Amino acid sequence: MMWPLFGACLTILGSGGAGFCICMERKQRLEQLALFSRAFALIAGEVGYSRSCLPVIFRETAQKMEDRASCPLKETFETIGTRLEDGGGPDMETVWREEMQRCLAVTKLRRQEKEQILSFSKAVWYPDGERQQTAVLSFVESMEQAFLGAKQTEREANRITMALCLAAGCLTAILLV
Amino acid sequence: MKTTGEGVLKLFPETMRQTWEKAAQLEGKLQEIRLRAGQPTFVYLGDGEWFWDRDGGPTKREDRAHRSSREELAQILKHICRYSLYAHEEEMGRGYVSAEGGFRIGLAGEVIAGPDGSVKNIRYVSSLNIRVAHERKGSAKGVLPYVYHFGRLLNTLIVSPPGCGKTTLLRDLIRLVSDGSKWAEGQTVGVVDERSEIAGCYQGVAQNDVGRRTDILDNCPKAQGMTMLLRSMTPRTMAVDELGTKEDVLALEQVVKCGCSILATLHAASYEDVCRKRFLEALLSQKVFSRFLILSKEDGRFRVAQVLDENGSLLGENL
Repeated sequence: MMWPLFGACLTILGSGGAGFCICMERKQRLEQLALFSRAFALIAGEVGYSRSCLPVIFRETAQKMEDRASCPLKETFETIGTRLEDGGGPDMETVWREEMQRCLAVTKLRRQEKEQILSFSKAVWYPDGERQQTAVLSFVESMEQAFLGAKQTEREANRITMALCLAAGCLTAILLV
Repeated sequence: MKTTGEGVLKLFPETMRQTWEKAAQLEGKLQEIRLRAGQPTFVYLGDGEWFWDRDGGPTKREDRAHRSSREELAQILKHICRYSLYAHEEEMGRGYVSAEGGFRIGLAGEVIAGPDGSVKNIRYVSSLNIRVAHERKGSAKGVLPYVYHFGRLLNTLIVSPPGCGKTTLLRDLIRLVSDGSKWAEGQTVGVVDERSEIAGCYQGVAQNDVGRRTDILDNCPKAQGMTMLLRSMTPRTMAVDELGTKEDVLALEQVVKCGCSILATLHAASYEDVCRKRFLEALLSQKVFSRFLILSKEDGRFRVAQVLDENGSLLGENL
């Protein structure tokens, strides 16, 4: 009797753990959206205020970001800034795509969000500082909207996920016992 | 430190670099590259005008000439501006952008006018004129004995028609005054570089050697810049390029009153031409300038054809 009970508990705990992991991934996505939103806000601020060139802004933004394994934005911005500043390599679209794809590959962002971020290099062509700042701010807005949307559904989704996982665990345990 | 040749090559996007590889080898000779949408590309070397071959290199054959499309010009401009056109908004409104290495790229195209009618920017760029930075260190050494009087720098006006080396001579003179020479110890020099031509600043850093004791106000209107430098940096010498307005003259009078020496340049063909410039009347009547260096160009190289004193008397020639 002891072993089947122990097995049932383990099954329920395992499915609960799986649910917890799914919830944590959602939380990570939220954090990553917030991080991108903050980075684009910093870029927009620098475009509007200092009117520095993008390579300089990227490197300055990198200095203001924290290093995270789940979203290596600091390192990515640093690399993009350095590669563009040198001027000896490919154009901005290529550099941005190459480096950002590498960074996005380890994030939990959705495909649509990733595509939005990758399209940033196409939005930097305005010869007017104010227009350019507005264009960058639209990225901040879209990240914030995604963040708010995800946050609103997160609690509900987490509750359902946990409930379903635990229920599935219980069912499996009953069937096994 | 990058060579001028490497600098020229880096002005072009990676996809176009193959065509311009030979331009990097023309270091010292290359003066200008003129790209016009749909038209043959011209390069100006020391020995005159050439077409640029579509496979690279100068040629005299127009049928082999490289031609740029409007899109290619836009691509080059974006690359030069490091994909940050907005950061060059003010410069573009004045018809040029400065690039790393002291290059200046002149622009022509359709002008965007502001609500007050002023030029705000240029769109649909149809011509690019890449002016290769020329530093000719030592070119001003010959004039030093004439511009110093017992260790004091005399107010000096460098005069020549366009393209005869006024700015090149002024730059070297600034360097020698700033670093010092056997004629005088080094002294602080304030430079108001309205069009980034003297120091060739890129992101605030001088790309040309203008001396160790030189403070530069880059991209700043001359008259305003001179007043700012007087207040903030107290230079012993003030240097400005291309005097052209009454405001410049008023600011220069202020500089003289503060006991600063002046190094300036002016578009004019001769001393007589200088005397005909009405906006300079006040300075000339007060004999503010003690030396006039009249330049001319021969075989693609400039020389100081005449050194005149405040009365227009000849002190030296063909330096």
